[in-house]
Amino acid sequence: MAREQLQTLTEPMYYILMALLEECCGVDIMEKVKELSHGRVTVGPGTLYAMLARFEESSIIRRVPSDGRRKTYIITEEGKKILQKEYERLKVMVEDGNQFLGEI
Amino acid sequence: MLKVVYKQFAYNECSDFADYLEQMAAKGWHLKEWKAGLVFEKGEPEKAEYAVDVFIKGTEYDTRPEPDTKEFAEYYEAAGWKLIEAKRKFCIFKKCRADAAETMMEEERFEIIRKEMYQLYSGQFMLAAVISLTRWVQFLTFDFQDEVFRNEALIILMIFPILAMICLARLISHFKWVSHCRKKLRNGEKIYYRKQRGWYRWATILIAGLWILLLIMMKEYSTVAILVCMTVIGVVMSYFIDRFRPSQSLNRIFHLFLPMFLMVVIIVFTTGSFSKEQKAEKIMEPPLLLEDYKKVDGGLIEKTVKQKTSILGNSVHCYLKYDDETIFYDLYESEYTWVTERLWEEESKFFKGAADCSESWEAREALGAPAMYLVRYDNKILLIASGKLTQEQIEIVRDKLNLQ
Repeated sequence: MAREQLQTLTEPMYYILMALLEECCGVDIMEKVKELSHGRVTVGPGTLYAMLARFEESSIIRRVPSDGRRKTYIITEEGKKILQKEYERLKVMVEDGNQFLGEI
Repeated sequence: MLKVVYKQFAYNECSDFADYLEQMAAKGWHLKEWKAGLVFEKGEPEKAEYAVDVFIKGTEYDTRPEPDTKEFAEYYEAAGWKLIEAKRKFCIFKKCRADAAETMMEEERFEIIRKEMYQLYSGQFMLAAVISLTRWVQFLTFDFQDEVFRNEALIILMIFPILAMICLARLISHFKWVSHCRKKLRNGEKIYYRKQRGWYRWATILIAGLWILLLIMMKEYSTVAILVCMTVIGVVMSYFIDRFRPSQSLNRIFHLFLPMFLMVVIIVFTTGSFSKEQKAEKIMEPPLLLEDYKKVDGGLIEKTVKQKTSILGNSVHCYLKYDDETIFYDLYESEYTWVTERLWEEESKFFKGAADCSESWEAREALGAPAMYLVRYDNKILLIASGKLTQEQIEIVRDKLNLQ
């Protein structure tokens, strides 16, 4: 996945990157995404694996050396920038919507 | 009790694959392993749910779950899916928890499958197109004299463009399928990856059959033998690879050595046909010897006679080395004017500014350069390098080679 394609994140991407603000084992991300989204977003194992591979390839996340057999990841500075940018975009969208929909 | 089913599925048929496994489980046949065929074990009928996914880090050389696949399977296990088997990029999972989540988002699965199938179809098209193009360029430019009198070369010129067209049709149909699927995804619909019922597979088999049939009809038995041998070796090797399931790295080595092994087979066969050719050389006497038209002091010390025959005509190439003189000549014969026209065009390039000697040869066209002649009759062309010939010698050459 080219980095340009990651400029607008999908919902699962957004939550996966948020889950990786702290070191997290790949397998545990599924549970963490569920927690962060209060059970609203579920990421399938196939989707998660493919996304982690692409994020790593694009240097948005990196592998953290760990003693265990399972791979552990954390978001990179580049990834944080993308996540922050997406957060700002969503915030602007909510604020814009608030002017018209907030009172409904 | 075990049952082996030899069934093939492509990556874009994975929904049908999973459905098939579920149908078998409902009849009490549960997938145990995947070797050369799918091995099912008899048990209690069960309403099982299977997921057949394409593993992006898998390779075509995977015959069993590799370390990466096992790591991939851990994600599935955490989500309630158990890995049953893995081969090539296919991973087969069985639902082991009622609350197991969907394995993959529709868009993600589609992108992975689309990419795999595009690589396969475009690769096949490129291969057929490159072979067709190089063979046609070779035929139309520098190798006409050789290719036109070899049936196997003419068949390749005909077969490979047809194969390239079939591959192109399949690639176009793939693009149509991609656009249809994208439309479905935009509408939030699910994609069902069903068994492909296109005519391409049958057309390819038919063309391969036609290739063999044409070779048999044209009595090119050695080429048929090479093709059959290569196919048999390929099938047997794939069977043993699937049966014994070597590791990915070992399988890569097999695939590296298999073409080398096939090359050795080809060389052995070709050497066989060389020896046959040499035998033919012993049997086939040159139609024209130097002593037929000149007084020769020494004896013949080297002789090469090569004859080629195709549906478009035949050619004889003779190289004769005597103690103190060497001659060579090429004699082409074809009933087709465009063939003789083309041969003349090619050969006469080397006779620019040569003297016209058609009268001496009583030929349609004849060019004489120092020590060489290029002569054309209605359906024959002779290129001879034997020094300057007298009228009497020309008469003998014409008589011996039946040039009228």
